[in-house]
Amino acid sequence: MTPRAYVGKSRKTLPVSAFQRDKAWHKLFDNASNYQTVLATIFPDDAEYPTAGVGLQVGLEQYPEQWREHYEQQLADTLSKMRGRPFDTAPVVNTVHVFNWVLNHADCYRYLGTSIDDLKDRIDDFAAQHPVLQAWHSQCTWHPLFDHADDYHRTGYEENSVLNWFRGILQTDGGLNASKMSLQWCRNVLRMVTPHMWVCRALLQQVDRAALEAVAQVTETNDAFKIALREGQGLDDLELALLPVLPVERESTPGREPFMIPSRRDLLKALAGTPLLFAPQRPAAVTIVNGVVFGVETFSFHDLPPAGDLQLIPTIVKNLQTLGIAECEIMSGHIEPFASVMTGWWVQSRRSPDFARLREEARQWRLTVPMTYYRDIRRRFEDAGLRIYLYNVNFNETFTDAERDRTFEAARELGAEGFSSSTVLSEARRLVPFVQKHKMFVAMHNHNNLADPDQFATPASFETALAMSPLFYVTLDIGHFTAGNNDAVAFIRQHHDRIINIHVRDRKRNNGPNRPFGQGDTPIADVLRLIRDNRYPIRCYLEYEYGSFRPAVDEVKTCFDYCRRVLAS
Amino acid sequence: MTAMVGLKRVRWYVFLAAVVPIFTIGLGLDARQERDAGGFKAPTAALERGRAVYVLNHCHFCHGVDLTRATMGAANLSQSPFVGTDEDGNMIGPLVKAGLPNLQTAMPSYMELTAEEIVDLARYIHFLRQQARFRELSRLADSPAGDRTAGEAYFNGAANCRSCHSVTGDLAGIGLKYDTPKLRERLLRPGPTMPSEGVSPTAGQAAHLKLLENYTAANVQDLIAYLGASR
Repeated sequence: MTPRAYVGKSRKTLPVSAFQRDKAWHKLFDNASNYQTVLATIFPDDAEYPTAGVGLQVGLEQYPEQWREHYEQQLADTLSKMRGRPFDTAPVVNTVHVFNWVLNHADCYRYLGTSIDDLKDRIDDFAAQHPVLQAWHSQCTWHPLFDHADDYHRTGYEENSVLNWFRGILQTDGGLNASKMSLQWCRNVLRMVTPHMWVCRALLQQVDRAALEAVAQVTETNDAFKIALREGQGLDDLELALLPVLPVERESTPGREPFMIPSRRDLLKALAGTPLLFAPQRPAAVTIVNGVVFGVETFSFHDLPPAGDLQLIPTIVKNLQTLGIAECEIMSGHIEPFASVMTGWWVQSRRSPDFARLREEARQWRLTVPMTYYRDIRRRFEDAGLRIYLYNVNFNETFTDAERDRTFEAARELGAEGFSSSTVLSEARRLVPFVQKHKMFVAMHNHNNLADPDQFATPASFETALAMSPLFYVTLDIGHFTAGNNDAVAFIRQHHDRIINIHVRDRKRNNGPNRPFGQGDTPIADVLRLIRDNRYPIRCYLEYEYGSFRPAVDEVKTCFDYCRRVLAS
Repeated sequence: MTAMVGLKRVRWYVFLAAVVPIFTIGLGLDARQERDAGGFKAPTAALERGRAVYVLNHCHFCHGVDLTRATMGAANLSQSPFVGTDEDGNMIGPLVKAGLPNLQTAMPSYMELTAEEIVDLARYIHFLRQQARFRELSRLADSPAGDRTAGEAYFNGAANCRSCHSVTGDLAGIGLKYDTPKLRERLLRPGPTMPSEGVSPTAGQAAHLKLLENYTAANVQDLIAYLGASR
C-alpha cells in the first residue's frame, strides 16, 4: 500500500514519502495564480476519502497603492469599534497559518501512528519553537466556519458578531477579507476557542489573567502562552474569560446601518454545526447547541412576581443567566404593568363587566408610556449579556390602529427582531399594513383549537396567513400542534423558510396534557435533529408548562438538558 | 400561635383586637406550612395526594397555586359556581377528563387520570376553595349592613340552616354572645381551622364547608344581620 498526497490548487499528486521530503513547498504558493493556500490531503490507496491533511495559508494580498490606506483605515476603525479604544492605522502585515487534521477515528490514528495526545504534544512543540500568535488543538467532527482552502470563510465568532466583520464597519464596498489574516488582527482578535490553545502576549494582556487562570492553566513558553482548560471547567467558562479578545462589539451601536446586521438566515446558517455553546456577546448574544439556537419563552417562568412588580424583569434576567440561555421571547404581560388578559386576547375575558374600563386603561398606558420605559428594560437585558429576540404580543380586534403602531415601536425599542403572537387570521389581515410600515415581522403562534377556523391550529391556517404578507412568519408550538393531531416534522420540512422559532414543549395527542420532555407524544427529538441536520434557521425556544414541585427555572434547565442530550446523539 | 406573630405585627394585634382570631389564623398558616413551587404543602396525606395531582398536571399554571390567581383567562375556581356544586369530582371529573379544547386558552384533556386521582384532585380543589373563600369573606367590612329579612329567607330557604339550627333554639341570643366580627368568623368556620390527619369532618361541618364555598358576600352580610338580631 502506497499512500499518496494530493496538494490542493496546484493539483499535484505525489507519494507520501515524496511529500514528506519536498523541500520546495514555497514554490507552490503563487500570488499570480492566487495560490495563497496549499492544502495537502493524504489518501490511503484503498480509500475514497482522505484520512489526514496538512495545510499552509499565507496572505499574499498586495493591495494597490491607492487602496492600501483604505484597508489600513478600515482595519483600524473596526478594531477600535470592537475594542472600545482607539487603534492607529498600520501597514497590513501578513501572517502564515498552519493547520493539520486527522479523521477523528481510532483506525486513522493507528494507521498514521499517532494519537490525540501525540498531536497535542506536536502543537505544543511547534508553538514553543515558533512563537505563535494563536494556536488551537481540538477534537470535533467538522468545523465548517474557518479558513478553507477553496474559499474564504469567517469563524463562528466573526459570523455572529453584531458588526459584519466581513464587510468591516465602513459603509463602502469591500471588506476585511484577508486583512483578518494580518498581524494586527491576529494580535487583537482571537478567532477560535478550544480546550487546549496558545495565544501571544498581546492577546493575553487584554484579558483578566486571574479570571482566565480560574478556568484554565496558563503556561508561558518562549513569549507565547499555553491555555489548557482545567478539569471540570466548561468551554463556555473559558469563552467568557476570553471574551475581551473575541470578535464582539464593545458597546451597542445605536442607529447602526441595516447592511451591517447579518440576516437571520445568514446568521443561523453560519451557526449550524458549530460545536460550541456560547453566549459571549452583547447585544447579539446567542446560545447554540450543536448548531441549534436556543431561547426561552418567558411564560415558562410562571412563578415570577406579578405584572408591574419591580422585581419581575430582574428575575427573568437572573433566570436566563442561571440557565445560560442568552435570548428570550418575552410576553407583553412581563413588560407591561398589567395582566395580558386585560388586553383582550382571550375572548372570554371580554365578557367581564370590568373589561371595557380595564382595556381602556391598558390602551392609554400603551399610548402614553415614554419609550424610555422600553429602552430601560432592553438595557437591563443587554447589560447582562442577554437579548429580547421576540416580543410576544397577542394582537386582537380590541387594539386600535394607534395602539398597534405604538406596540411596533415598543418592540423596536426593546431590541426585538419581531413579534410572536397568539392571534387570529382576522387580526392578521389588519396587521398587514403595520408590518409593511414598520418593516418588522410577526410570527403567528398556534394553539390547538380546531373548531374555530379563525384560530391558528392547522397547517392551512398558517398557510393562509403566510400568503398575506412576506413579513408573516410562524412560531410553531410543536406541543400544541401535536395535541391538535398535526405532524410537526412534516410542517417544518415544508415551511422551514417561514418559521422563525418553535416552542419546544411536550404534549399528548388528542388535546392531551403537557408532559415532561420525552414523556408526551410530541416528536421533540425528531424536530431538533431535523433542524440541526438541515441547518434550518429556526430558533428553538423552551416552554415549560408541565407541573412540578420544583421552581420553574429548575424545570426549564431539565428541559434544556433533555434537548442537549437529544442533539448530542 | 401568638409566638408566630412577629414583632412588627404587635401593633396591629392590639389595634385590631376584635379580629385577632382571623389574623392569627392567617399568619399561622403561612408561617407553619412548608412551601414549594406548587404552593403550601397540604395538611393531610389525602389532600397532599390531591395536591400532587393538581400540581403535577400543571393545573396551577392557569388556575393558580391557591385558586385565586388564575392566569391566562382561566376560570377562577374559588368563585366558579360549577365547582361549588361538585361532590367528590362528580362535576369536576368529567370536565377535567374531556378538557375544553375549543377555547383560545384550551384546557387539555386528562384522560389518563384514574377515578381515585379525580377524587383526590376534587377534594384538594375544594380544600383550596374553602381557604380562599374564608380569606375573602372574613375580610368583609361591617358596612353596609345586611338585610335581616333576606337573611331570614336565606337561613330558612336556600342555605337550609333551619334543618339543624334555630334562632329561638340553639342560636337564641347569639347576637349578644358574639360581636359582628366574631359572629362572622363563627358563621364562616364553626369547625376546626384546618383538616387533621385521621379526622373526618362531621356531617354538620361538611355542610358548613359546602356553604362556605357557595356563600355570596350578600348572603354572609344578610345572615349576620339576621343572627345578630337574635338577642
